[in-house]
Amino acid sequence: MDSRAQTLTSTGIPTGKVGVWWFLASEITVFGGLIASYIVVRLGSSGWSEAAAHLNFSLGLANTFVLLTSSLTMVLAFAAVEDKDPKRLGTYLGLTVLLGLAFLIIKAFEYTGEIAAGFTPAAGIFWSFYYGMTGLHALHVLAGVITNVILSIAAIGKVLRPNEHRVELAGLYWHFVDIVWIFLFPLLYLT
Amino acid sequence: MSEELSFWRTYVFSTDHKTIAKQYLSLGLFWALVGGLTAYLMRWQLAYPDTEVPGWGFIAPDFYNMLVTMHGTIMVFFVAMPILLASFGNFLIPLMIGSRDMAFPRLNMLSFWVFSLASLTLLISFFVPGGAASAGWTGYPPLSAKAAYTGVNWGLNLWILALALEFASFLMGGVNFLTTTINLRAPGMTFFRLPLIVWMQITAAVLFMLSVGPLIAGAVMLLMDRVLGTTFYLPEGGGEPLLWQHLFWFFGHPEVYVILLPGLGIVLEIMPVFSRKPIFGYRPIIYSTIAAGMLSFIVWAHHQFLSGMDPRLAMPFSITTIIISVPFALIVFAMIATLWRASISFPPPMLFALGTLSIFILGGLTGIFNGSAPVDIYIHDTYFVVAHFHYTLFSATFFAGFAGLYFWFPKMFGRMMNEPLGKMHFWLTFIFFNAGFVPMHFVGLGGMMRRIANPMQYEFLQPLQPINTFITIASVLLLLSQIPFVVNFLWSLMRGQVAERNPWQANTLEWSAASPPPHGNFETVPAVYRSPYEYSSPEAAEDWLPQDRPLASPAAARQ
Amino acid sequence: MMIGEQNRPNYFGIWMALLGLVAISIAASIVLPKSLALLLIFAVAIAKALLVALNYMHLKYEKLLLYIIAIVPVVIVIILLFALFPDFVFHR
Repeated sequence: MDSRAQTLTSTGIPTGKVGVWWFLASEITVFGGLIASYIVVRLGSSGWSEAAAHLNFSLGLANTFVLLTSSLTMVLAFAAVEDKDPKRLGTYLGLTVLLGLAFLIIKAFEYTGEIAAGFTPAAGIFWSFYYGMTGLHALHVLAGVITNVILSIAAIGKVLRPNEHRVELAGLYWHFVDIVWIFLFPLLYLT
Repeated sequence: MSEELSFWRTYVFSTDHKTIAKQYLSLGLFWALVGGLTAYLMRWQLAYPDTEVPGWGFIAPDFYNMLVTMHGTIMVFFVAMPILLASFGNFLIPLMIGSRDMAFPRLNMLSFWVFSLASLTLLISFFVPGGAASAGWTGYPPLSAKAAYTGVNWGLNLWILALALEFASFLMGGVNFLTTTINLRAPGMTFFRLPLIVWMQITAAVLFMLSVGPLIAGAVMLLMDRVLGTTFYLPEGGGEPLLWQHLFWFFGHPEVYVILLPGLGIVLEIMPVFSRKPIFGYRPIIYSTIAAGMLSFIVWAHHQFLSGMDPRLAMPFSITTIIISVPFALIVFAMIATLWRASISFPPPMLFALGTLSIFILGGLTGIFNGSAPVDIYIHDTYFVVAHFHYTLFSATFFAGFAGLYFWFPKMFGRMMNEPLGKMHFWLTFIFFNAGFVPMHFVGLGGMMRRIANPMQYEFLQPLQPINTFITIASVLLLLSQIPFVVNFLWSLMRGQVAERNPWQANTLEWSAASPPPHGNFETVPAVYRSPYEYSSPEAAEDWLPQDRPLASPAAARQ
Repeated sequence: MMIGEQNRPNYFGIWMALLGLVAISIAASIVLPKSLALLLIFAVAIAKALLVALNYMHLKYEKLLLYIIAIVPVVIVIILLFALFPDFVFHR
């Protein structure tokens, strides 16, 4: 089946890639708006560091490691596509899915700990932003995990051909989600 | 390319951009009726406060707040955007660039169904306990952040969800429009041979894609405040109500150009056809559009001069606001120059295009008053502002929308609309619109505030009441004037004279396809040889020269 | 667009660099005075984002159009950020 998004192009850039980058551009403004709001409201207030001290730094750090590694496995999955190695593709996609799930599990663990200690979303302005930012991010991670699960199943079931370029496109989204966390981690856990 | 599809796949779950365009048009027209109803109810209440509205009943003050809120929300997000962007954009872009469909047809279909879900959500919000949203279409907290302040609980939550779904739908559409225009152009269709409406649509798409993000973030924050007890916008929790205003208007201002640009694009397509003359200043218009688009990101706080924001922001935002009038003035002058010494004919599309131009000029002029902070101190939150934005929005949405519908009806539906009825529709609309909205400027200058349900409660407004009554009568007549259009539209769909391929003898690629075009649009993908506005060209025997006609031989030129 | 094995960035190497940068930010937050730490942490975050964008997202190898699509929203967000300063940072 000829995938329109793969063949027609007036600029030489694959159509699917142009589409995904436009989508990412809008996502940059979503998280950018949220992060900018956090930065200015925080810079204009006091007491946030005390609230932030109640965050579980080790779990945040673990999640950073998990997500950075999942970006590695994702791009290695794409390399497997380029090298036409379906077995490696399945392996690395599967690893990315597992790491994504790990992130979500760790996050859920963090949330339950915080809520049990009384730090609910209603506990103050820092917590409003903490839950808002990490919650929206976690939803995006979930969407990425679901996408990668679908791709893994297609790859392992050998029905992904001729749409392997979709691994690259899913990868672009996944790396974006990683980049958001690259900013969230220092903003929330390191300051 | 043309397998027989079932009824459901052809008319309901279609991936054909033309069908999707008609779906958006139908929903948009439905919402226009609802929006018109809210206008009728509001205007009656204002002219004859606390009397029974004929056909409805009494309007309580908090119901009035709901009408005001939903009128704005519906007209901006559920009428203007679906009709001008989603419908015209979807229908025209692939045809005008010489493509068989959009880059992502299934994403296109998904975008319509997400929009339908948004529509359903908004409709349901009318019927939940507490009623629909009533914090203004701008939804400022703290009023909107706590259910106790409006008495509306689920109505406002559903309002936020409906808008979020609408944004998602148009983000998908934006990805499609931009990717299609960038990558699916026919051979020979360079960027500077694109029809101006395509430039307008993609600029509008870029503006939307890049400005809606902060508001999505802000809406998530508002919903969390309402439902999870966060305090993003609640001062008692360390939050900032003003933050919402910045996030809202950061999107809100580019949004008005998202609506305006396709409207201007429609006018720019129609004018050369009925002037038999090229567009004056094709490239300057494009550069102005891009400049206006960029500037639109740095004018937003002119909506907030009186919000209590830092007064030092007033001057820079006033300056940028005055500057942004320049590129639009250029476009207006280009339109006038196109008409200069032209052989103008006046069928309904041209009448509505000229109407758009004249009304937009008036709206743009009052924009200068509003954009200047010292003047805005007096006219902010008065009916002067309402008059201003109805001049600009009505011109872009209704006059340009009607112009486009009359112009492309033959292409969309394969039939001609009735011309005398169309002309009557135009004159009635033009007369009663101006009759209603010119006096509104004066009522505003007289101090009448926005969003109040009963002007007679204020002694200083009582002398203005005759004007309010006059505006209401004109508005009701304006609403009734749409009947000729509805009759014409529906009748022509079924019994209109069958249209030929190119009834207007126009140059752009959609007129080379059949009326209506089949699935796949063109028998063969066209090749493009020239710009879209070669009217009265010395290279052709007739006064028009299509983009896809090769001039290899005299026989070909005589086609 | 296939990049090919020869032209490929060292994905493992980038990963190590990313982890190293995380370590540097953590060290900075502990050792350095507050404002200097903030500056360094922010710079490190930008560096990490660039490493991922240019190498994992292959922006290094892409045509100009994609760069523009990626950069323009960042610029817009920065404009928003600075415009919010007077009302929230300077006013309290």
